[in-house]
Amino acid sequence: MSKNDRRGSNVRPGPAAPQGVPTAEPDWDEETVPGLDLDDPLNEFDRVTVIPDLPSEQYVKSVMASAEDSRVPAPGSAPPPPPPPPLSPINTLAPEDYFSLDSDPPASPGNADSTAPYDAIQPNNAPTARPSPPPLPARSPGVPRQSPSLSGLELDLDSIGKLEAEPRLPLEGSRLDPRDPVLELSFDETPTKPAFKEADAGPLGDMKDRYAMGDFSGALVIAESILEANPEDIEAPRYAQSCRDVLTQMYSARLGSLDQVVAVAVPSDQIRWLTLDHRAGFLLSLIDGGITVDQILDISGMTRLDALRIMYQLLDQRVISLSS
Amino acid sequence: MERVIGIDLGTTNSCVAILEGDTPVVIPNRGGYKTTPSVVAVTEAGKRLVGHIAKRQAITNAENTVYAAKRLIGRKWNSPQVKNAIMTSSYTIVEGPHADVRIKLRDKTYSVPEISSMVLQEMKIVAEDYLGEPVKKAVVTVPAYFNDNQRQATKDAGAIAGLDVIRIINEPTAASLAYGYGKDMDRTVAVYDLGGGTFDISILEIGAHGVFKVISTTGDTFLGGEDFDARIIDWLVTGFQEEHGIDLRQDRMALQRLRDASEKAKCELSGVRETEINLPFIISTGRNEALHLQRTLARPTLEKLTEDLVERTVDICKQALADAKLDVGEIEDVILVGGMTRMPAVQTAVTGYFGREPNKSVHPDEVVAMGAAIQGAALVQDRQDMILLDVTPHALGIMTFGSYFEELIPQNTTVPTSRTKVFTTSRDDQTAVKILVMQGESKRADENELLGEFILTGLRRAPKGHVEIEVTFEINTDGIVSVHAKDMENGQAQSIQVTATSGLTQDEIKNMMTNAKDYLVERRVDEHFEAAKQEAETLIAEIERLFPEIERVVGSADFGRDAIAKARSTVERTRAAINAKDTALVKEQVDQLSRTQRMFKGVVSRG
Repeated sequence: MSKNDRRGSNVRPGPAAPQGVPTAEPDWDEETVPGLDLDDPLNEFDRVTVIPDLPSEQYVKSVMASAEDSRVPAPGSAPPPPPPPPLSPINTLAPEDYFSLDSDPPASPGNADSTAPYDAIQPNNAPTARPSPPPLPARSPGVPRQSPSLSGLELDLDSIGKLEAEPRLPLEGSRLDPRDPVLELSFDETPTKPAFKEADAGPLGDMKDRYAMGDFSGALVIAESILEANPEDIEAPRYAQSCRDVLTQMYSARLGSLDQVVAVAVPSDQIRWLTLDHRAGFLLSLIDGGITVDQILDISGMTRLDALRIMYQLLDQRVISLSS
Repeated sequence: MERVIGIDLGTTNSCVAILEGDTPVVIPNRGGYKTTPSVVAVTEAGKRLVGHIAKRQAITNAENTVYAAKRLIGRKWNSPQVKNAIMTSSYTIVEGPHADVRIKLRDKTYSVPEISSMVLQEMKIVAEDYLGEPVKKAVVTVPAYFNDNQRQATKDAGAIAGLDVIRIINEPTAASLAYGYGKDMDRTVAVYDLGGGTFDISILEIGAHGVFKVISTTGDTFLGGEDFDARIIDWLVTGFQEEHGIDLRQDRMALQRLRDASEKAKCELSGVRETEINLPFIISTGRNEALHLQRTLARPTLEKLTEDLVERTVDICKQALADAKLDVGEIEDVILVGGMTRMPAVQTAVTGYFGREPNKSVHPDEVVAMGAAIQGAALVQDRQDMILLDVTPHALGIMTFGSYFEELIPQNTTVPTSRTKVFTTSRDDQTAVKILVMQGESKRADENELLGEFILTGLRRAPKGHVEIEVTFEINTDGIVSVHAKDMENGQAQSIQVTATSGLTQDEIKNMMTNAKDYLVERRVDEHFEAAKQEAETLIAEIERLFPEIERVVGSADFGRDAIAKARSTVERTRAAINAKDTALVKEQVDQLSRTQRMFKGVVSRG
């Protein structure tokens, strides 16, 4: 596969820029970027560009179907078949449609084969903690940043809604509705490249890049760090809110019905040998055999997003189980 | 016959009971617990939480969680109890429009009766779920020391919750009823009530024909099970700090867990000699590791930690007996009320002081609600032998010169009643006199509750003591107090009608009732939807499990393919109905799903 082929097929289709949001730099060309070898298997940027030029919901559906048996192929083995052609419109995916907790654990980063199909979207690649805020010093304009660690967590965001490259301003005084079209992707004929305007260099640009590439956790961390440094920033709150909404939807979708009753799946004398933090420990302590996911979210004392993320991690690690 | 529930609206826990046949039965809530925490919270999303679920987030969402609202109900804004609560409560207390007390939760302000109504409404729902029919009438208990305003506020809370509170009765009286007193029995009993947040000791004289006379009642509104829990928390926090140098109190989640675990350990130690407190991942160190708390608490340690608290209750008992002018030997029985009285050290202390084993035949957590249920049934069945007489909870009188309180109607007087007394002017040429109507037992007027005031003018000019004013107090069957003052010489008269008030106007109460009703409707709609959804999801899961087998058995035939397609379409329609939250449609689909499931099962069993 040539670099041109890769770019032609893998650059994610972008939406029209929303009002009030800077548009993407039209003449940016990844081929001219020094130090970025797209064939380097360890190049994380490369891994995120394996997204095919398909409507995201169909792409994710196919990927998630394959994630049921998401083992890294043995060297020399035949590549998996390409994703199926577009089907009729798909409704919201139930988690079990595309996601199995029985998937094999991901290959260790050192052995990761970037050419392995959809390696990055294995469910177990979901981060267990939020990424650290990126270093604040701005890079030279026009030089793309080394892409953040993009895991499947961010990528399968597509499974719950189509994405815009940049969030729209929510209406004043209104809360973002998860169904708000802010989460929808308009499939333009011309793909939009990530924006690297001079003004967007530094954390702001990094945040937008991550957002555009589906790294909502990373984008959120940066947005929050920007807001911490400059509470008056106009763009960061929009991005932060949009990221929160998308992530909340994503974790909700993965947990399934929030009316499910939660049970601890690990014997009580073995809990202390798990690798958890005090927040996860707190949520575990709330489980009394009759409490539902929704009730835990209500009484967690955390933001809904944080509680959802931890609940998902506990489920993923099989520390808890859910039942109707 | 209409059912009447008995509700013990406690400071920390509430309980509901009903009389079934001749037996009072305590109704468990959905979680299976027979008591429900009197805690109300509003979540960040604006959702209302009541009971156990609210208690379990009381520390992590402290600013928006109301507990012990009973300490505030019917109190005036400038009362010392309210000032104290402002200092000690984690939630925001603000002044209401009628010098009453309001509580701020998130962006809304609630009156105290409104908060209590949420607890009462929860108890009503618990009873309705159990009985399968609407409940409208209730008997609610209050502490013996509650004045008319507090009692009225409790009644208003009931009305807001959609309950007709047909009688308010004293907690010690209810407890005595449940223990079987009052049936041609003549004895003096002490009711020792150590609950979650308050301690009350009441001395009652029980006579024949349902006369329950509260001779004295005293207590501490800030002494209860929570103080015992706090001692365990202190012990755990200190031990952890010594071991790791970390103060767990600084972390709300850790503190919430400590509180839950301490209460659990305390309860367990009433039955066993020692218990283990195990709190894994209690706190993170910041070095990417979490620490665990694991300690064993033995009963003697708990008793040592809480020795002074138990001793305090005994001191208060001494005070109650002194107030009643009784010797400890004159107490013929001691009744235990409140969960804390299950603690062996408490029982030992009570036995030691009163010189007799306390009566433990009825569950101390449930006894008050049971008594209320007994009284409720007696009222609707018109069983005169069991009906308590309505009495004035406190003495009524007026303030006289020098800020003294002159009693006209003594405490425990059966209503309706009327008493008259003559007073004179206190200075020369006095032409007007201010009548301050008060309630309480203190000789000092400022220590009693002011119910109302009016001025009688046009008095004849004369030296002090020469003008006589006749003051008459009347209480009718509805508990409304009328006070008349008349210049005995010229007939000049003035009067006032004192109605106990919760601090809410009738319009406010009506609005609150509407809101409460709307909330209940919304909640019921949600519950119906959830039930239908759960049924539908179970059927869908079963049908989907059968699909492969059905396809194998009949998939090759045209009719089989049709049936499978229809079944899939029903499943899809049901999912759409669930997503649209259309309860009626989900219910409709459930019928179809049931038919499909039966058909599939039949095919599979034959195939």
